[in-house]
Amino acid sequence: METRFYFLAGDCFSNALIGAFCGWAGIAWMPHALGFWPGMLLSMIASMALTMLLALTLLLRWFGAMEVMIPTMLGGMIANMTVCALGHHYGLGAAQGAGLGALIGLAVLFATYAANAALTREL
Amino acid sequence: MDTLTRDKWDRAAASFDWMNGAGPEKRWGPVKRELFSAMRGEVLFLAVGTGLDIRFFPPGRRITGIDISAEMLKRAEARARAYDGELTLLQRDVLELDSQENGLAEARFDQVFTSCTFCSVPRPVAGLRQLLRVLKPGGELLMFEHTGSRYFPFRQIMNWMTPLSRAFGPEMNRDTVANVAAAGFELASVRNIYLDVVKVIRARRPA
Repeated sequence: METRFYFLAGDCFSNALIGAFCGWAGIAWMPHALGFWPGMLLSMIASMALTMLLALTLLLRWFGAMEVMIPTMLGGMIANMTVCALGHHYGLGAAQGAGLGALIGLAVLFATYAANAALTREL
Repeated sequence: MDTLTRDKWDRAAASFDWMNGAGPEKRWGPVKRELFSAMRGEVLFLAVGTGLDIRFFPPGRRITGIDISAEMLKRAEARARAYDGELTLLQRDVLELDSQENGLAEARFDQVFTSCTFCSVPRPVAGLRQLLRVLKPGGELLMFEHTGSRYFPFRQIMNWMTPLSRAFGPEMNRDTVANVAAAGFELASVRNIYLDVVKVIRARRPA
């Protein structure tokens, strides 16, 4: 289990940043004219492609490693889908979407920490 | 020699330290240092790259470091010279270790170490069989590797990340533990370091 402050802070920063971006994209990049499901899929693919590039380059370089970006990518995907759905049905703003996305990113990170604690016991 | 793989790593050499020298090396440094502290006898270090891992080697060991990429090895030279022990660098393709001209002798090594290597070796089981060949009977294979996950949704995310990661380096969804067993090694232990993805694997050549 990671205990060093630099990496814990880096994990939180990465997950909140990617979550916020994907949440924002869930509102700002949602092509409502296509309908809910195709629109959400397009918004998710576009935001995931950009965040994957960011995660596998800059965030990996500073807070490494590639494997540690798994919760970041997962958080981004869940944030985008959730915000898309809420925005479509309840009229969320882009800033609200970003805030909610950041929270979802952090929630996925903490869930991954819990999974990590369970999985890193000796086999 | 597998020129596709060689060229890929030659191209990656220029940015390799920038990408991996900060976060990843610091993150996994303590685990690598602990693993490498077990180095004994005649040691083969596979895919030494630009030599980032040399700082974690215990002093006074006899180590042969190989890599498929001449560009990587060029960058590793200064680090190898600074090592307080005997460290020889050779350009070798793990899939051709049995070649007459550019191979390594059978049953030459007491231990083989790898560090994030079998995410990138094409035909990993064939590569592991080559390692089995150069190990003495009873010799140890000690690996720090990242693998695919057995668990959804981690497995799915890694399957999606692999096409991108493969373009500039490793694959993220390999089943390296199964590959080690399939190559004929006896598995001694598998320790999860991060999720069931980053692992320390210990195996040995049957005596």
